[in-house]
Amino acid sequence: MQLFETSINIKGMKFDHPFTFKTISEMSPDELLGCWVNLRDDGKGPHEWAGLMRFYRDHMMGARGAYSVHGYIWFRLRPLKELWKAWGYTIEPTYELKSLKQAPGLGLEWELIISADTAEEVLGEIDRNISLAKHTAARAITLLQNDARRKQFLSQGKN
Amino acid sequence: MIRDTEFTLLTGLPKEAEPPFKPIRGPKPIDRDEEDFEHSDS
Repeated sequence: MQLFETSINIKGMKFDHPFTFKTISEMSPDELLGCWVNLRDDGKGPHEWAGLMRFYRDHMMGARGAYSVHGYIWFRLRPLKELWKAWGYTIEPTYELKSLKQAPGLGLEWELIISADTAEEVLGEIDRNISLAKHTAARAITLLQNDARRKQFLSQGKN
Repeated sequence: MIRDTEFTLLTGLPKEAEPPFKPIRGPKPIDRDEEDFEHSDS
């Protein structure tokens, strides 16, 4: 097993992603090409990127098949109350961000499944999808800031 | 060749964060029959 991320936190991965950990543990070394994981989180920033992907080769009729990836990308955010405060707003939100389904925390979450003839094609597709996720995350931050600004403005108007 | 690719947003923003835009509608059209036009001309 090759580790694409040398700072892999096996203990954290086992705790936060037990199903993926179990899947990887049970895979044959002939199938599993590697795992990329980034669970470094100091919990101090208002938002952070994290990801977990396993790379493997499908076996068809005993022959090695496509290069495949299955994984998740997370744009983890602090609770909305803390976000708005960090952005300088004094009002408190009346709603909260959604909980992630495949990892602890709040924010945005994507599932990624790719299968291709070459590893280069897989990596290119990962790169393209991460760009899409970054675009969506940037739009989400803009929406949240606009909402906070609008509600701050309305709040001041009432006073 | 890419054989399969799926990139799915599993968790997005809550709907409350979306801007409360409502579709802009023009004035409601006034129903006029022929008689109305005749009166307006006089």
